Amino acid sequence: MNFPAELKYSRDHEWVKMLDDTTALVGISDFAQSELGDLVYVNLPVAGDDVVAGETACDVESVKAVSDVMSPVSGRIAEVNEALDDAPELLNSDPYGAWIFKVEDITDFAELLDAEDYEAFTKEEH
Amino acid sequence: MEQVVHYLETGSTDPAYNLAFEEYVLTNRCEGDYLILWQNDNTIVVGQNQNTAAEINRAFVDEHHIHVVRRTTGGGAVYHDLGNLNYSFITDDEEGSLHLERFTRPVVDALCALGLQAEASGRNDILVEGRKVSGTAQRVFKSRILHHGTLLFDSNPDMVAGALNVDPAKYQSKGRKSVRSRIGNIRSFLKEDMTLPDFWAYLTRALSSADVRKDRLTENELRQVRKLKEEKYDTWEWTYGKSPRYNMTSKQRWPGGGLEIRAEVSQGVTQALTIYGDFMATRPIQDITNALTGCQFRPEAFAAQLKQFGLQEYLGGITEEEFLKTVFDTAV
Repeated sequence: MNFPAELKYSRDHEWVKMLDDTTALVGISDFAQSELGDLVYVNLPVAGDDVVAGETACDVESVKAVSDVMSPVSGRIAEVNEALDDAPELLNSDPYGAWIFKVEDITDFAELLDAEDYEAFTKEEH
Repeated sequence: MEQVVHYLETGSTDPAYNLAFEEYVLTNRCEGDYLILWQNDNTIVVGQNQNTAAEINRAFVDEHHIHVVRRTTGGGAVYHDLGNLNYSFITDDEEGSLHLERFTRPVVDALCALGLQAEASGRNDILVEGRKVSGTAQRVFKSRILHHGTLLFDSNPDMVAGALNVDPAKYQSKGRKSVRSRIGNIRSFLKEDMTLPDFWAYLTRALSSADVRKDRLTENELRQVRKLKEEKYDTWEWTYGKSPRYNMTSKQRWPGGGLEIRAEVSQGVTQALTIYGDFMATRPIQDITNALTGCQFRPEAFAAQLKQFGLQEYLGGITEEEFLKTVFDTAV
């Protein structure tokens, strides 16, 4: 299981990569994709929509279940990763490369953990 | 599972109400184990990420007054009638929760105890003698999980086949596709016949690994359920509008000429539309495509736009009803 040190993580298993002070990429962690199993569809959010930290931003469907993706930040969706439309399996093969959406004008954050604490969290949760 | 299983019934066969009831329990009863047994009257239930129009046989649905609803779990479209019994488990999302075994095992065991050769198959099905009698799907909500499934007990196979008999060429999208299976009815495999009420009572005991406690939603909770039904599950926006972006191509020949229509639909809205044909027109068809672009992709919305035109000038002998049927397989 991989937990890149340069990322922050939410307790809902999303990762956040800050591009500057108010812009970030969001995806799901290696742990999350492994729990979900093979992803078959990513119900991408819409650019321009507002997201709120700790609330649902979109959902993903695996062969096992539909699961919400919570936004770890509050802000506005600047862009979505359209590549996931054709290739949802990228979330399995490259969870930290396959960002789901980019948020801009970030005004608030959910509680975020660093890689070490997040790794510990995934172990204590399970 | 813990010691007590809360058992609920919805008291309704309205699919929109039942899905609202189930969602309410998943998102608001945040502790304990729940079992719900319920039935929908003639209904097609599509998966969370499916293109509804592509999954249903519109003409058949209209003819037989079949309900169409979208659920929040994954997977493909299924047909329910009063010969089908649904079960829902709602519990904590623990390690390995998403493994099929945890939830299908009690169902398979319950069927085997009736003398059936039941087995879990693939990812989400339960088979008896090679025929699918149950399909299951799951939804994670925060730290809770919903696992639900159908149990074909005595369903009408002609209705199942007819309702889901679709034209695979008409729609193209990235959404979840359905897989067709050979289905079977549990009742036909029983050594000793049972009625559906007997089967229901049997499952209430068999699917509860511990003490079953009959529970009920409060009046206030039921008000929330009705609100969710009206604001979500009853709406066109949820059932059809939420379909993943798709393209539609339809070609039909009418007495007034051939008509071919292509559309691109996203968020339930017509993003682009092209009309071809060999009908006799005296005005540019662009007026109509402009009016329909940006409008909801549903027959009522198209009909409202078409009212402003003298259609024979644009479509020759092709009528509004024929135009709508070409696009939607139904008129208003």
